[in-house]
Amino acid sequence: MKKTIYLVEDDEDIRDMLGLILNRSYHVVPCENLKEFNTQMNQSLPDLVIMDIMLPDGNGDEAGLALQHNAVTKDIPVLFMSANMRFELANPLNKHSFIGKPFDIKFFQQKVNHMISLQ
Amino acid sequence: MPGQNLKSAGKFPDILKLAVLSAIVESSEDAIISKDLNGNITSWNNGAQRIFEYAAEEVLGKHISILIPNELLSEEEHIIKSIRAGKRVDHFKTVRVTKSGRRLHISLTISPVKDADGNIVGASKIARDISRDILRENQILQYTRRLEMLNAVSSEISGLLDEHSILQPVTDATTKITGAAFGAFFYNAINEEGESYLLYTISGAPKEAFEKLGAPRNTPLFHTTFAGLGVVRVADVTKDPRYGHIPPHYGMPEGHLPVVSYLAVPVKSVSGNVIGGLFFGHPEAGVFTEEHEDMVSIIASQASVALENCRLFAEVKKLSDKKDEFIALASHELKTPLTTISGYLQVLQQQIADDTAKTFLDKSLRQVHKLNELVTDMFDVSKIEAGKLVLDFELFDIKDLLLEVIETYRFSAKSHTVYFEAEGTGFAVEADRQRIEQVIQNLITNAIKYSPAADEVFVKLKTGTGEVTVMVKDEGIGLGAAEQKKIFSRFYRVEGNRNISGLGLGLYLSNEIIKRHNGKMYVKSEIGKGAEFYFTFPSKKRPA
Repeated sequence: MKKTIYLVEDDEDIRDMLGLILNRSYHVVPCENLKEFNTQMNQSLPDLVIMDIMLPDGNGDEAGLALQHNAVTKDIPVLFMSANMRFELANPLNKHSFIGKPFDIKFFQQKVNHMISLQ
Repeated sequence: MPGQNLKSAGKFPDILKLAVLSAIVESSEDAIISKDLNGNITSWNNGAQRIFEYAAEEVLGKHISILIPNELLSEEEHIIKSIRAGKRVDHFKTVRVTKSGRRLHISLTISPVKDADGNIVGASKIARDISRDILRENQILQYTRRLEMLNAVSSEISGLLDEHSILQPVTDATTKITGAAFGAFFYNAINEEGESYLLYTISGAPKEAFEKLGAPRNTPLFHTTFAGLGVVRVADVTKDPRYGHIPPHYGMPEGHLPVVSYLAVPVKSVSGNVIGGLFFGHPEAGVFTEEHEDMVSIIASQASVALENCRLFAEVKKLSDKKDEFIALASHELKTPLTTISGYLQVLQQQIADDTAKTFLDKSLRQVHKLNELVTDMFDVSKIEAGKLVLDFELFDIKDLLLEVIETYRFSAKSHTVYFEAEGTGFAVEADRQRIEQVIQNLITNAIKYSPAADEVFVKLKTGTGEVTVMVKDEGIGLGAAEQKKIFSRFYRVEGNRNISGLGLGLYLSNEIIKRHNGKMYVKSEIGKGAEFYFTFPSKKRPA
């Protein structure tokens, strides 16, 4: 069974592009915003979350922190991505699971594979 | 001087000499008194009568202490002691009391009086009234102190850029200078929404004393000040015809500080608008003088310049913040489409086998990469300008980093070979890895860019006592001395190379990054002989 990734990204083209890259190996569930993401989370838990930071209905960084502080979700890895700088992350520990836009897709794939394999 | 007159009296016979002497004593402006060794007064001239108000017959035989204020009685002991020892007391400045109890500042000269055998039998005392001198001295002193205060307050406020820290020292200083019991500075400020609001500072009274009262209302008395019509100075405000007829308070509201003497000075902006006023009060009548008025007016005009400066500063800062906000937003928005473009180009690059098409894709991707770097630089500059560039220090091996960066040029820069050499041992540094990488990349990219005719770039790493140095040397067009000075400034680009692209931000950013690492960046170059850029920074992060 393919592992599941929740992809939270408000830009449709980036969502499609990342879907295209990841679809072969993973089951990708695209979420336009945090509301959709939370609905998904309430249904089932993914193996990895890819989280944009500036989202129309909130801050992905804070949403990621909330996952880490929740006993049920704390072990789900979160890969943050943003066109903003890594130092704008609320939790400096997250810098190792951060990728700046735009990115090298090979590097991106490696990162995703690595984080999921640690699961 | 009596002494000189005595000498010129030398040609008179003795009897005449005595007469001359006594005439001189009698006509002297100064008090000339003699006393015996017990301190009893034995002679008293006209001058003494005029200064101390006692007639001779009232004081002859009395003890000299009738002239001495209680707290200074011990002075007499010292004086008599000196006289007994045959010593003179010269120009001794002290205070004495007159018959009517007035205190006088006087200067005393006391000499021993000897009998025919040379025994000391008493003292002669010349007292000069120096009250006026003292008064003048005090005036000068006071004037100097006021000037000093004026100077201190103006230098204190001229460097300040927020309103409250200007208003307070101005209120304090002016209250002190005028001798007011309480002073207040009411100032109209405009908030970000463009609404005006009242700021005020108080000196000499608790804030609550004013809080109950609200702002000074636009009554006829306050109107003069807030309309900028001039200074209002009233010796007794309760006697002013304008006072006591204005509803709702009909005079000072209950709980008002007891104001009798009143002084109000408008504070006008440079453009002539009234921006506020300084108000002073005192419970006694007639406290404020014209001089106070002048002093406060001077301070008021300086305060208005300082307030104007802080308004301008706030405006500039607001605009600059808006600019930074805009750049941050713009760079974020530009990077979103770049992410998609770069992503799909990379996907295509993996899928397309045709060589020509692959070349086109490579070129396109390189341009996307460049575009992304420009956007990032723009964003970094705005962060640096706003003082918000945050460094993320970590421990890493700088030699590994250099090798990694140089490796990437093997593929991307086929025109040049980048040589590397490391000197010393222990290449661990505590720094922002990504930022240092950015600096190294910038220097190598520049070295290649500005040496189109050459094919080699040399990178050298050196470690020394607690610091590391990285050098990047090229064999390119080089820089003149004047250019070397400007090379690290923002938007500066080497002249005459219009066909070499760039925003002129790279070296500015690199230099700022190295500065933030407590390091320094240098350039050595000669026109036509290549350039060597190098930077040094402590290998251990220094506590801020």
